[in-house]
Amino acid sequence: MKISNASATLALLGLLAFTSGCKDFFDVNVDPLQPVSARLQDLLPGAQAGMATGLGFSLAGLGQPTSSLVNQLSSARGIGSYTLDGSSVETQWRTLYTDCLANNEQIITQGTASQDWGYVGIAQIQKAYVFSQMVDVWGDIPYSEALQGVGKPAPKFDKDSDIYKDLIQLINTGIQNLAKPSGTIPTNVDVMYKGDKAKWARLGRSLKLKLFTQIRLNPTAVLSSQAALADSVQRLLATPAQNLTDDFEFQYYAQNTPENRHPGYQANYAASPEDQIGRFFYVTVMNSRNDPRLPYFFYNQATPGQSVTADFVLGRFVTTLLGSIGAAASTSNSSTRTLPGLYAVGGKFDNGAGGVAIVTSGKGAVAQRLFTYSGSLFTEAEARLMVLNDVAGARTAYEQAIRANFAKVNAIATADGSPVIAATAINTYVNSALLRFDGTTRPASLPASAGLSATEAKLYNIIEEKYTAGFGFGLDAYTDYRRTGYPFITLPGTTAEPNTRLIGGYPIRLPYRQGDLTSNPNAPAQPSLINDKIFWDK
Amino acid sequence: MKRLILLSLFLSLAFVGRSWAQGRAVSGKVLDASTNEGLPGASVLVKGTSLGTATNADGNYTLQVPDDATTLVFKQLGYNSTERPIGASKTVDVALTVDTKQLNEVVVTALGIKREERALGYAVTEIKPEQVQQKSEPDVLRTLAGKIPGVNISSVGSTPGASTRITIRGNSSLQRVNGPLFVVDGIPYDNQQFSSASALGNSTNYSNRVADIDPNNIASMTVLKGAAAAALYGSRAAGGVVVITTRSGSGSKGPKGVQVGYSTSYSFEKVAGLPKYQNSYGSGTQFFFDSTGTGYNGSWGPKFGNTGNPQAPATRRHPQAGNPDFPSIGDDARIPYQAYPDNVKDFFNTGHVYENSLSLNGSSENATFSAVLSRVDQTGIIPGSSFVRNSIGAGGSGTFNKLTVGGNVTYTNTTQQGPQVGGSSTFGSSGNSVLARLLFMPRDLDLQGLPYINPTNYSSVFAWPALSDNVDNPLWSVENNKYTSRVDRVVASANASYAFKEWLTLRYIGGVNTYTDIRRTTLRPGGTGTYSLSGNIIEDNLQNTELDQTVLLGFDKNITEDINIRASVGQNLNQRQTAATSFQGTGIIVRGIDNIGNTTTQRQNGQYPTLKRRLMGVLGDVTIGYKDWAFLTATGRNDWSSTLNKNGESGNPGGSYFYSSLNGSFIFTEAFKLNYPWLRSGKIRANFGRVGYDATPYVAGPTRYSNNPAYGVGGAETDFPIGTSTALRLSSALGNAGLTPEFTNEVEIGTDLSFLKDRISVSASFYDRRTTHQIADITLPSATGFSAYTTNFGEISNKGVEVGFTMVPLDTHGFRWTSTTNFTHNRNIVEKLTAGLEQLVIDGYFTGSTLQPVLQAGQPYGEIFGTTVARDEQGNRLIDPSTGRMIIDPTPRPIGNPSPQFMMGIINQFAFKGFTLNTVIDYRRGGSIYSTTLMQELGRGVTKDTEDREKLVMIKGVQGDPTTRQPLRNADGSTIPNNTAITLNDFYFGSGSAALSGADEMSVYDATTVRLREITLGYDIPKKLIEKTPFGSFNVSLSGRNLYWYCPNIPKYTNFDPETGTYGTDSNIQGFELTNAPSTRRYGINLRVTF
Repeated sequence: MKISNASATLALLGLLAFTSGCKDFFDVNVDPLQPVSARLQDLLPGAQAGMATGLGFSLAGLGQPTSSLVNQLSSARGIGSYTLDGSSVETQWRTLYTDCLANNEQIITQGTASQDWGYVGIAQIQKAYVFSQMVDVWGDIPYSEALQGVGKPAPKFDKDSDIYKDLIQLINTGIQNLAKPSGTIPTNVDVMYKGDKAKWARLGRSLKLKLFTQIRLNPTAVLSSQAALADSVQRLLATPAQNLTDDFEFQYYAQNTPENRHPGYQANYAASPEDQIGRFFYVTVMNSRNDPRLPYFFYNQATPGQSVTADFVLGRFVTTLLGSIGAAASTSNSSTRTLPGLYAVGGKFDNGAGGVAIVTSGKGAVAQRLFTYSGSLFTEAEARLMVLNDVAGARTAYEQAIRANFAKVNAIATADGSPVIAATAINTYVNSALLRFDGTTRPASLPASAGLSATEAKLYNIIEEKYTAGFGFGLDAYTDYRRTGYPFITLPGTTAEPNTRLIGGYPIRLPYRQGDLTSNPNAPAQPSLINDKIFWDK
Repeated sequence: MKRLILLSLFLSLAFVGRSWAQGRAVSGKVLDASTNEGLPGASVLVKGTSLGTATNADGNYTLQVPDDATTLVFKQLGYNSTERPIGASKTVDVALTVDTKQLNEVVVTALGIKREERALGYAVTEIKPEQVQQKSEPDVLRTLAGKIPGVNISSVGSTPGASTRITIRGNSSLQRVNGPLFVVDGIPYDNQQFSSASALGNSTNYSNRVADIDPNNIASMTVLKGAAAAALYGSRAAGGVVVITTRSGSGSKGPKGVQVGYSTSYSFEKVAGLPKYQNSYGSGTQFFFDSTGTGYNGSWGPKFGNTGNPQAPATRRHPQAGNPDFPSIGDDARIPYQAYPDNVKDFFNTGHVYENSLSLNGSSENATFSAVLSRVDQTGIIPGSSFVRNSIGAGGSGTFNKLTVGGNVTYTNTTQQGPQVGGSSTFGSSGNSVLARLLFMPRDLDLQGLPYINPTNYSSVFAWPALSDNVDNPLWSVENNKYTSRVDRVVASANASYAFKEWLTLRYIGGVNTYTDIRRTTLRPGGTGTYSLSGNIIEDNLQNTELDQTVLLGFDKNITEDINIRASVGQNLNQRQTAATSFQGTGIIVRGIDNIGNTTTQRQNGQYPTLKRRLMGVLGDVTIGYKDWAFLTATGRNDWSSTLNKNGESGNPGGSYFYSSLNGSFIFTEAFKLNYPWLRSGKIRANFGRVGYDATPYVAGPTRYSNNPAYGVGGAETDFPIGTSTALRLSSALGNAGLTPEFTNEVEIGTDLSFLKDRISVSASFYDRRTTHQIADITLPSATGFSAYTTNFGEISNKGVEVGFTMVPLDTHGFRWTSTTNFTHNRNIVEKLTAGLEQLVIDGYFTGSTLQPVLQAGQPYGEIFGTTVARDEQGNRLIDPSTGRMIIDPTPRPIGNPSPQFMMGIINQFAFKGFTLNTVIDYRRGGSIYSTTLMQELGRGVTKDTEDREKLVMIKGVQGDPTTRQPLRNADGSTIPNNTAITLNDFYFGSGSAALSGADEMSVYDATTVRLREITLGYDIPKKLIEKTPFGSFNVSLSGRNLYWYCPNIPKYTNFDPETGTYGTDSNIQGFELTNAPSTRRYGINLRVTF
């Protein structure tokens, strides 16, 4: 009897142990560290960092490999020999979709629900900007079914021109939302424009101008007619970007804990620098016209008179040619090579003395420029010249664009504490640039034998100056090169680049991320990088 | 519902056998015939009835027997059953003899329940303490290699404390770390390996936490392999269970009085896996010497002393000549261009292992006490590497009437000090690793003679720029790139049992197992890489605590004379908690003070998960035994886990799942009363088992946001906060509230046979294990905005055969030769994933590389994928006619299966008059390894394999187009054989070569190995000789480890030991060797005495 009593008591206790207090016992499945909701002000800076990383001038961004494709950089990686595959830019694809766009989408969803129209408008314009850049390098990509998690586990790839159409609408919606009354956005939350909604709206319009200009060879893929293009461009030119504060850029800082320095600085001011400079860009484009921006754009580690064994040496300029098969192609030039300088990555201003670049040579505190005031002026120059046939207006915009870039260089130099370019030097340069525009002189990269028409020659100058000013962000230069064929960069394996070899054909688009093809049954096959054009390509 | 069934089972047990016959009382004592000590817990039965009792702690019993009873039966696990007539006597004493028959051995099964082997319907392996002690090996898992069929043990490198991976019957899980559950003294024992840095970064060979167990403290060890054997342990038992009882936790009674034991060992170790280097050619390329001053990594230069063309210089400029930091080295200093044959060998030290263990056992009538104090002190072959483990444990138990209580506390302090050995070269990661170039340095590099540190700024100096620019001098690395870990671990448990009746016992065991691990990874300024100027210190603080308790009501009764029922029901509660913080300091202020307080800037270093989980299980098992030759056992367990939701509803934790097993054993020799002289006993067994497994915490919840997110990749990274901006970022892994448990189902059949008076015995098992509904991540296209979605899918199978074959070929005149062969064959296949998921890449370390460990449906687990040489339809290699080298096809394809086809451990023991010679030879057949050590050794031309090089080679193949990767064809469509001959330098170095920069498949090797793993020669000094001394026993032995190995398919002179891997216990990656430490050989002398 005693036994059964004891057993019954025990059984009862066992029962109690998991009926009462059961809920509390198991209620530990909440992460004490990582929240399951975020405020809009927490989401926006992250989405912007994702955008700057995925598009920027570094290993992790598109801005660096595309710089190699337009010979601003010379890369020893696959991209240098034009042998790209599904792993070449997979990080960038992933960063843009998951780090940037997924969070950006969350802002739109969440902000729409809470009627925070300022956040929504910003996120919509950001989304349009990022997607437009992605279309420009990848063509058809997941858009309408993208960013929906397991809701759409296999998003279809939308047609590139259809995405452009939708992006125009998205920009319009974004501008409307920015105009709606809504709360202020703190300056530290909006890294790009410090919460200035007017600048965002101007960016939206400049972006539309950029997109319309880019499609000018095939406007009917997006617009109803050629006339509609001219009409749209004309209207957009009425509300241009105003000054350098309209620069759409992501600010980096000098501190490295936490790592806030420009990613390109981190990779290049280290024991084994990442980038080498393209001979074409340094020698043919900039050195040939004695460009006063040279010491800001590049840092030559070689000291004056130093004897350097390297693949290519010209004075203190040291590099390895793209696709080189020269004797010293694999000779290490880490401590002598020319590096991206102050303007590009916040590196060292070249004062002519040289010296091995180390981690403390510069600060890395320059912004990642995405779409600058200068860039929108160059866009205007192209639009006026090619769409509106307004040569005089184009010339004015061209001059303003160059001057805006010099002002930018000087602003960066001032912030760094380096000497600025004197106004006289700027004027000298601008005058020579105008002579080139007017056809009085020719840029070194444009031989007379090219036989360009007067208008095309003007466009050539616009694009080459834009190409120069755009250093530090190769995406637009790559897009312009594919659209216009300008400037005439020298490809490896041609007589202009002796001792080089071209392995793959020139890629006119970038490969899709292999993982996205493998894991998405609705994905197309990897397109031909050599033959399959983006819809706006001529 | 299940709850009710269990409850009623629980209650019904209490009412079974309530009626008790009256009669006369018989009493007596049951003794162990060998010791003449009383045997507690022996059962005393009235023959022909179900009446009986059990002896008390002293072995005494009293039993009411019916008047007509004639005979008593005495039974005890592990002893021969004995019958005695009652007669008129009121006292019946008996002495039981130990049963040596195979099937009667007692083994510890799940939850510490002891069973005779005959009653088990599944395979278990018992490891005796002498099999793991004093084997010149401080890592208990490594001592097991080759000794247990079905168990695969692989180690990471040879540095002291490096982790050891163990899997039982293969890998069962896609993404959860595979491996068994360890249970030490009744409490789960965490065996995580925590990596402070990626194996490809600034990492060392981190320990797994079973390293905290001293093999010298082990009293017994049981390996439960299958799901049926392990099912009662619940969720974590899907990969099998290793049950360990320590000497202080065993609570078993020794001989009365106090016994002191002491054992000590000393071993030294030497580097074993060094290549035979060529000493004819120095650094350079294509027989030419470096003219630029940059120097070369590879030893493809001119032949030493060659005066012809190309000429070898007699001397070269001293790499530091003219360097103002080295004023003692003249501006024109020169060094000879000659071989330094021992430049690698001389780098290594002789390692040492000292092991000491002191134990004390006290036993009295009602109580036992034991204490163990032990220390292992190991230094490795790489300077500055060490592993020290101190352990102190005390335990005891006492019996008071029907109550037995016990407790046990063990404190372990383990410190590991290691060199930086992060996988290097292939992925261009860690030049800070001591091994980044060490094994394949240029042959003319005078490592010991040239400076390794700059006396002015203390930076690393490593000969010429080709080396200096990329990697730290190994001599500098061991002094300045450091890792230390200090683990303090406490395991405490209490147990009690109360015998309501002889046949009804309530048991309780509960305890805590907790440790902290304080780590520091230091890179002093002056090395290569990101922190060359500032230096970097990372301090990690890890904390892991597990609480566990089990209450078990056990029932054991003979229902009739022939039918015995043993049953138990119980409840188990478990909580596990892990927390970690990590901080990084950069800008070391005072050189030599490796503390984060001595840095200019500190910050949080990434974020480690803080995990907490709880689980409750209700469990029960019933065994019905018939006449000692047929047994049937059923088990059931229901778990409720905090990591799963009820009904898939978010925020409703405590999801429930049930699983069960059934096993039976049948001793046919006894059932059919077979009485052949050649067949001693025969048993067949069969079982089916199922084990469930829950999720990791928080995954079954909403998608989380990470705070202070980081963007970009290493070397191009952006971390929040940025300026004054803070941020949250959506995790790229989507949560899933609807997760259900994963299940492992296993069917196993087996037999245990004993022939010729136990001279030959065979134990064989066949199993088919399938793990389904795996909780794993579906890879989402990034375009969904996310990378992974955790859900249930997939199936992995493990099918295999395990055979243990033991024979005694000789047993005569005191000479006994015992030979055991353990055979393991396991086929581990990823049967299916899920629609749209072609493959999963294990771990993200290889992102961006073509080389990947892959889980793909239909492929072996963890198949190595990589680039291959392009081939034509006939399988001929395509050769680029312009280079004469192979054309690489960049699409990753399967290039190797890391799992062996089979493994054999052959253990021979020779015993003669107190001498014992034990040898363990193992043979591993097949299994692939991708080795960068081999790739580099060949690619750099340093081993004798590449010495005969004054010739051209022509790669067999046909000409191809490197762009299209199609063969070139004659007009008639025929292919064109390769006719371009190349130098050996080009054959091994460069794009399309057979080694460095070649296709990944070129560096995959077959790891087939025959190894003399262990040898021990021991001598027990005869008792007679030590009678007059205070010693009770005295044993001396010599031991050796890894004395010889032979790999037929590995380049001969590399002398490479493929039993290594860069990824440890925290990873499912196998078969990757990314410049690991070479293996070692140990010789030891051991002494063991008792007082």
